[in-house]
Amino acid sequence: MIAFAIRRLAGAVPLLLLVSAISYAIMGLAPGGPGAIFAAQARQLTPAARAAFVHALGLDRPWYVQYLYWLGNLVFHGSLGISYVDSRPVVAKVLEKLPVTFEMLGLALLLTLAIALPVGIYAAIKANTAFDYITTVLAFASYGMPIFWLGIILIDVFAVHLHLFPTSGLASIGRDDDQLDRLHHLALPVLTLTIVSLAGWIRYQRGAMLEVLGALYVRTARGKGLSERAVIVRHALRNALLPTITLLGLSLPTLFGGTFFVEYVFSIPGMGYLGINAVFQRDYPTVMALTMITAVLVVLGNLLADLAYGFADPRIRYD
Amino acid sequence: MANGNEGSASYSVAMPTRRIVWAMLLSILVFLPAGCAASASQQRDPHTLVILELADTATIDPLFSADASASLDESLIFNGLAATGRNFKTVPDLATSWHASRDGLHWTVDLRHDVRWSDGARFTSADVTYTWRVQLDPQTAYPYRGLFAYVKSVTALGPYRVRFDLSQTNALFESEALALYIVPEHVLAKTADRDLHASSFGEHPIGTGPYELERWRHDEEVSFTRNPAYYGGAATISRIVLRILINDQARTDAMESGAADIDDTISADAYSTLERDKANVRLIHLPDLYNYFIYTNFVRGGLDDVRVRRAMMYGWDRKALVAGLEHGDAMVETSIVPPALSYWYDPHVKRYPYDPARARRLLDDAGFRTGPDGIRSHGGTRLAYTLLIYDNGGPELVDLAAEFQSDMRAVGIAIDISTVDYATFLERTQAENFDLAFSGWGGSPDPDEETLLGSDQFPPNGNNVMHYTSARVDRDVRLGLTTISNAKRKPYYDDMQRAVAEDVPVLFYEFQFYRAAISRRVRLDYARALPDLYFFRNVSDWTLAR
Repeated sequence: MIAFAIRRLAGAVPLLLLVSAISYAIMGLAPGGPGAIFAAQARQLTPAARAAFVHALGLDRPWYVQYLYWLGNLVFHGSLGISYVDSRPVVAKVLEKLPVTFEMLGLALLLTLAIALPVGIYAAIKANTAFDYITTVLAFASYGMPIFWLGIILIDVFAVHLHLFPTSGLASIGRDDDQLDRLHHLALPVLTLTIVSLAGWIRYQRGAMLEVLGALYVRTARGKGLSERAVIVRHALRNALLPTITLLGLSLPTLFGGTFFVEYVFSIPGMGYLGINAVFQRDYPTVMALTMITAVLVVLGNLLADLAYGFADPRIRYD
Repeated sequence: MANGNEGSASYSVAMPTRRIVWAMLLSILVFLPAGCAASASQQRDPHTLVILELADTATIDPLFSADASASLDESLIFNGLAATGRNFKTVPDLATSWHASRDGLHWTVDLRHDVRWSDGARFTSADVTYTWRVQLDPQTAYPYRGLFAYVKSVTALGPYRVRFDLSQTNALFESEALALYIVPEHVLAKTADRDLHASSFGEHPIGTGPYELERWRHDEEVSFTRNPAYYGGAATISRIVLRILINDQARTDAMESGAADIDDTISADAYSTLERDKANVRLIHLPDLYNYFIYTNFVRGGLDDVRVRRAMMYGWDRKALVAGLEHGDAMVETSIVPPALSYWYDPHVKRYPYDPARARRLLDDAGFRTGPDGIRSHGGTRLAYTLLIYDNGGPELVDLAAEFQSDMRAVGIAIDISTVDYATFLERTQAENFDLAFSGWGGSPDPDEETLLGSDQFPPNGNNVMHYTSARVDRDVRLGLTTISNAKRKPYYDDMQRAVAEDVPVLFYEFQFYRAAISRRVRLDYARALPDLYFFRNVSDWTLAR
């Protein structure tokens, strides 16, 4: 299993390289650069000062040369650089935002699983009944919903009109250490993330359960006279939950992507918020650090899911 | 996928599943009481002044901060030799007095003897000479170095006296150069000039001001505690919190509930909402220093013709627009100098009341005839332009662009609207890759507009993205900048304003008001503070009522 993990990690290196090159290219080819932002902030900047700024950051070189410098700095100095905006090490900037995003993602994932697994399983058991049809329709509706739109609607309904939840932020003023207050602030963002990811999970879980219910060992179990409850809980359920582990790994990129919009809409100072601001400010080192750290997390998440799958299913061997 | 299980009884399984679903619903409901508790026990800290901010600042290091958000943070921590006082007059701060040689090239500045840095060290002339040495050193990459290129050197004439030697006279020396914040030599001199930008000073600043940095949670909150060693006497309010709150509704809620004390970037909408809460909130409404207008690019055919630009001014119903978008709460003017600078502002400039018939006549006179599609053209030049706007300008900007478009259409000018993100907007305007671009400009307490209007200020030299050339304006801005006495400068700026209103290199839109809401528990001397945009300067004298 260790050899498998090492092989997988080694295989991730070219993938991460590709991710970094593509990200850098997209950024480098986008119009408007850090030089433009800098010049606008210091509105009476002389051309010489602007040129000095642009040169000091290496921005007068083509993007692929800049990328090579960035890569060299990462490989030889282990550094992801310092921010163009505030000169702080970008890793520190990202790490200070990580806990908030993880907290939000974790809560959203828990809530999603808690709703989707029972509903998906129940829909499979009740396949082609009204319950099944309704969940299917709702699932597709939530699947097709743009996440930022959903966030804005939830704010408008639950915060602005009903005053049940705060409109934005992570804590009320002067109550930053109050966990209940924090949960209250996280409720709508977590709900937004949950609603949009619910659909996939419900459909997947329904499919997995249906497949298992048609399996021979379920028929055998029924045939030997077990109660329907015993058949489903002891035989079908366990096996139907297995593929879910894989989905856990696969859903990470979508979840991380979702946090960008959710954090921006709800002004949650997490990684996504940092990322969007960095993009607007053309703070390339911060954008790259975020991209790479997210990519590494996704790779690790997938690996863990695979390993967990093997752990849960003794038929799977890694060699 | 098999589904051989159809129709089989499964109520026995449904029980636990239902229980799980219910447990989940209950756990969602947990969020609700948490919130009710939160809003019910909204407590005001009697010792903390809470100010709402729209964005976090990048750094609290005066050597490198270039964003507007830094100004409040820095004003709490740092002092200049001089400060901007009432009516935009330059008043002493760390300096007690200054005087110029007869030719205006040498300035002797006397410093206060009683100033200490917040770490206890004494403030002396070494701090002043150090600050200026690093600002003028190209290695430091101080962003505003070009503005002070006329400062040749700064020399200590003893521990509390310095001399500035200038290479040419500059009318902004007192209001700009002397007002720059002084940084501590004993803290920063250990760092080489070229490494200053990466130093952690901006995260852990040490200053001479009334407050010192307590804690900084990026993108959330910055807090300050009073500096007991402040030369003006320890501030009465012991703590100040700058809270970053972006959402308009959340800001209004915070002001109404009393969670926040000051919001000084409120929209016209929020202003009218808060007006109903006058028992708890005091509203401040002052002319601002920012000018909003549309750049016209003279390189584009048609826009170089003053008749076309004037026709656009006459054909644009600005008053109706301001009435709709700002509740009429803005000044529709045609001066390049803000009315807030009442000493400099010249109301006797050419005006452009809404008059579409006159606009059409002007275009007819210029030879632009209406084609079958309703758009005017003349000799291959079609009056069809793209108006560039940026996407974080709020919904008002989109409405404004749409109204402009329909007003122009009515006089035979086609307008396309192009929305881009701010970085792209900046690049395109600086590269003069636009026809018309909506922008804001200003903030300075001085009427000088050399970098915007000078004919030697086309990008990348300056900000004359219009390619506006006027010998008359060139002369005005040059003489205005090199003449020292304000009384002697005034005629030049009067003339500059008249010339620009006649030429309309920019299509004037409006001057907005500075709108602030201040909680009634904040006690400050309003009679003395207003009408002064810089009233925060006296924050150390403010108190909080219990």
